[in-house]
Amino acid sequence: MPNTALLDQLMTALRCLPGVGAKSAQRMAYHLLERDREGGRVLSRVLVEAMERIGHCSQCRTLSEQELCQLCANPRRDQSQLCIVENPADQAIIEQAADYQGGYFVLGGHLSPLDGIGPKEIGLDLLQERFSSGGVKEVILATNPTVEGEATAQYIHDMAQQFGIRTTRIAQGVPMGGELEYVDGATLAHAIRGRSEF
Amino acid sequence: MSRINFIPAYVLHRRDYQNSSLLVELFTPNEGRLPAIAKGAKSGRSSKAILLQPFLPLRVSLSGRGEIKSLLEAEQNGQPFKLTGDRLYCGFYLNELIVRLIERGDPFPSLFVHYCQNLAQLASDEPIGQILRQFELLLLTELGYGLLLDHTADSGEPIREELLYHYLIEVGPVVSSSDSSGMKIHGSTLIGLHHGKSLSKQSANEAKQLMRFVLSHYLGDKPLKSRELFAGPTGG
Repeated sequence: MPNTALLDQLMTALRCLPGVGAKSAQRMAYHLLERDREGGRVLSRVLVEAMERIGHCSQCRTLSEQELCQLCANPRRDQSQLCIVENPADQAIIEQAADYQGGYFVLGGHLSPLDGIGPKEIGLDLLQERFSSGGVKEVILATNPTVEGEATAQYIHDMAQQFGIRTTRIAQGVPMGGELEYVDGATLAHAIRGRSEF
Repeated sequence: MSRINFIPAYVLHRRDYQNSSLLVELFTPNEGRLPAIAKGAKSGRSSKAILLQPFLPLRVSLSGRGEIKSLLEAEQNGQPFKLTGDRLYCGFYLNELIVRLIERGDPFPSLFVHYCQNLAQLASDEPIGQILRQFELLLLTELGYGLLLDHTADSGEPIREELLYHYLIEVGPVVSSSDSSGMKIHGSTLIGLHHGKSLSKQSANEAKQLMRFVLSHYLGDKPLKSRELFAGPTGG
């Protein structure tokens, strides 16, 4: 059966999803049309609504439907403590796992000149404004321990120094329940260097 | 090439690929710049993601006939270069220059050796400007765009320290020119650059402007992103 123009469009559109190539897009399109029209309708409705209504929190840049996200609007969160993360997924995992009561700032990436990502692209101008308006006492750098993540942390540290704000970096070391024997050398070296008082 | 075993390499850049793999841009002496996929590098059991980072000397095994190779193995080949602050941004700058100017697959063995040395210099406390200028000059020479620094392009006379020259792109320094596209530069700066000497503050600044002027010609309209890092936040 030759594909109709609309079917072709649908398959092309599905390929914008990560990890979806021509073959998977075709399978998805046929599945929705032949087996699950209702699911397809729900998907299209929610997708349109989400694309229209979800924006970025004006204060911490995380994904939010409101001008201020729930965390930023919560008066019980201590906004003088600011945890800097690379993306909303990192924020979510810290929220789940750690007993953290401060605020966040979500960069949406890390400094990576080769991807064309500089300070502006990850909202550091906004962060600088936040620093200059006062109220932030501690910045917790929770960017990934990669070279780019470290560069980003360093850049934000330099920025915070200008305003006399204390900066801390999340600890790096041996995972809970792990065995030293199986920890890679770089992490172990970090763990030894960053040892803490018992 | 079907398989090459344990060649020296540096990661210039990496990005996520599918769920748990990485797509890395490698710099090697004889294969030049090449992309490779490290399958499952980010899955829990693999330590490849820790190794596949910029500024860490590696030895890698690759296979595949297409443009994009498969990265089979990677092992550390020396201590990582500890770059911080401006020196880290310089490292990004070197990587960006290589990715932007070198075609994939062309061999650059001597540039590779120089790159290793430059990283070591960046990790020490040698002046940044001098390291970058030497790398830029060598990169241009290797690409066949080497700069004329010791004599003039028109009369062929040796450069004299006290004179002011016009530097024309793809030509070189001339004593005077009706062409206004060139850049004014002192003889002392040209000679200093030629001998790789440490330059006075004014000369160093002039040398930086000259390299920017020449490089922008080859880089085209898209400016280098890593320069933005130097600009702020402290304005250094």
